[in-house]
Amino acid sequence: MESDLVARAQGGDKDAFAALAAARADRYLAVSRRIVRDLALAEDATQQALLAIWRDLPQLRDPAHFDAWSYRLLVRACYAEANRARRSAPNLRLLPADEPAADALSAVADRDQLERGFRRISLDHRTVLVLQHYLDLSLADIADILGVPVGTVASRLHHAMRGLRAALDADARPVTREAAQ
Amino acid sequence: MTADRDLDRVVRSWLREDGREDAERVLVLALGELDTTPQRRAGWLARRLSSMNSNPVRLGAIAAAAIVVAILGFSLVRSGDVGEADRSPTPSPGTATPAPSAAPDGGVPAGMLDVQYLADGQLRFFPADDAACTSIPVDGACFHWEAWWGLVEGPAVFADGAVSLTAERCSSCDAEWELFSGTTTILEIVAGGESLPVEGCDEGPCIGLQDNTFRRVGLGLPFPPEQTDDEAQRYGWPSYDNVLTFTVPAGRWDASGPFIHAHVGPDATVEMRFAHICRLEAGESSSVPLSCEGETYAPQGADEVAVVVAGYRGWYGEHPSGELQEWILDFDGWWVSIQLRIYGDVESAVVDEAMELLESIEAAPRD
Repeated sequence: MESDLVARAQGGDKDAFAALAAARADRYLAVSRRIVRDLALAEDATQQALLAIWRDLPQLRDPAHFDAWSYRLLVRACYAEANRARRSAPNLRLLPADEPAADALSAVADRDQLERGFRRISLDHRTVLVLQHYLDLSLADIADILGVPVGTVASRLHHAMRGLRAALDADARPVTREAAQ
Repeated sequence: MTADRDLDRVVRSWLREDGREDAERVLVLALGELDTTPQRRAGWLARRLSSMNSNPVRLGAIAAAAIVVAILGFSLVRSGDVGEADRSPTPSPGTATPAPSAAPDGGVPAGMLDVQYLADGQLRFFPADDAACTSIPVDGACFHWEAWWGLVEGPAVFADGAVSLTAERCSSCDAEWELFSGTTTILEIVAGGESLPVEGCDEGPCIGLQDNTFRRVGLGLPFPPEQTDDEAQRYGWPSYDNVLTFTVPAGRWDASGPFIHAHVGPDATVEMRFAHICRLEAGESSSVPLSCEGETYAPQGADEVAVVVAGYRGWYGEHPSGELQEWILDFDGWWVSIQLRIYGDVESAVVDEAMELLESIEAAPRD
């Protein structure tokens, strides 16, 4: 049935596409918001993704892979929106850091800390965390969506958690170390 | 390890505790634009491949590589590295297909899959907010494609190495295609990018390599037929195994823009990234490079060592796995992270070339 809807939408059937989109739009928005961390940006990304899906749908060869393919377009849209927003707000990339103290998690007292930490890690890293922890996708599925090797996904996940941990740890401790110039 | 699992659990729980999103408004807006958003017809490549009763993945990859090499060729022409004599139609090695001519129906010229091409004409960029649509007109048709992630205004190759292209009729096609036998080393590509337009810097210093401030250049490497990418079969996209992308945003670097990203096989990757850390003012300091507000960089671990790269002072560290090396260099108050990731069995010559690029880095004041 889903494949039939996809096939019809590929042929230009707007009603079929509307059915597909309606069944997924909430989830698309949820994923977008968790990646870009901003509702307005997420709405823009979702809208652009829906239009991109419609526009490029005839190029999807196998309707059975619609979901993976559509998430790929959604992630692209998230990157585009985030990049646009970032022009006035530099994003930061962390160095591989020392493992923070094991009790750093105890400092994760509220959502604000997580929010700040999540914002501090890169878009690549946020994306893989959302795809894994929110959508429960496998590494292989994430690799499909992102168009990167599985090893790259694993690496990004590793560094994402490492970066998040470092960010949480830094957030929880006072500024003590002077720059080494 | 326990702490890792705890953080996994915390993140998972936090991501899922947010309220349910209501996309009704977005959905209505998007559906309202369908009438003014034409669908793109299925890629000529997929149709052609499916009709040729051949290995679609391999042909797709060859086509992808050919197009990327075309970008290289265009760059070389622009830089003057290809003389006039080289610009006359010349069969590529191993091919005898004549230069393409317009198809009777005005569609894609015949034979375009079978040779490599040099676009001797104007690459046309259509910058968009979310992607760039680039078009090369040819004999009544156009190759065109979109790029995204770090390639906001660049040619056909995505930052992750993927190539997406379709051929469509073009209303204004004043260029011609010529056959081109490409070159395939990173340094040649760097040389080829020499005369590409330089964008103005809108933040930070302009950073250049080997005396050039680049936009970006793509390169297709020879394609081993045994290396395939089943994604091409799953999605009907051209395979991009062994297509090397070399992306250099000019002047302006941000944390998401890959500087170099090279796929050299399905399980091997060399990747370099540039990322601004933050702008510092004299005397500012803090503990970690997490914000640009009054913070500076300080070593993050005992393994980080002070280094000088191309005359710029900074720090070097590497992940214990050996996959990631990172230099944090100070470009006149701008801390720039340069990351080199190596996965899999990469030839040492490729890594050497990347290191040579690193050593050629230069920074100039912003315009």
